[in-house]
Amino acid sequence: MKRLVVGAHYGLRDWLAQRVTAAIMALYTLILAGVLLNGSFTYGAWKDLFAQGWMRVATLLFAASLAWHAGSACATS
Amino acid sequence: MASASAKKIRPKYLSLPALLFEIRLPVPGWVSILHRISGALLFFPFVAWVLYLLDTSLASEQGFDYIRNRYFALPLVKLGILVFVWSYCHHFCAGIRYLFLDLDIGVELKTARLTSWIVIFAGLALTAVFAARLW
Repeated sequence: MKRLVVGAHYGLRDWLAQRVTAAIMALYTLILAGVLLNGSFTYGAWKDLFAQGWMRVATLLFAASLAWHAGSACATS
Repeated sequence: MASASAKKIRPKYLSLPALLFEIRLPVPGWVSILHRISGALLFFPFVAWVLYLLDTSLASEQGFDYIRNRYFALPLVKLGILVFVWSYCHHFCAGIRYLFLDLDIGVELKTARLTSWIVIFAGLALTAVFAARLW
């Protein structure tokens, strides 16, 4: 039987998840900022950007990271 | 209970003026509390707002034009966008600072204060750059 009465590192998972998701979102931010600064800001360009396969995956990853990041922030506060 | 008239003399440094004007947060403390405030703001209300903006601007060309030319022209919307952009930039810069602090980089008092100032000014500068593009 595994008894966890004393000890440490119970928050490690949240702590680590918060930092990994932060890195993912930071990378997404830099990529999005780079794309936006390079291209022209028209409806066609805007729609095409979010229609691309890699961008859909990246945005979904960002959304999941955001939820987990906020959740772990509450858990470790 | 003792009578209410027997007033307790409170320690000076817990008085309201002391809390407001005498006990001041050091700069890293300001970065920290602003990191939390901006983080909370980014989750609520800004997640919902950004989803609305993305949805409307991507759904149709009319929606895109509406957001870009009419919605963003509203003063209150501009103010909201500025608060959002500042929250994002500050949270981003402060977050990167914390990632370095986690690695024990920049934990000396002098460096920590310097990087705190850098984070505060970087957040404001990035917001100013964005504001210049918005107007």
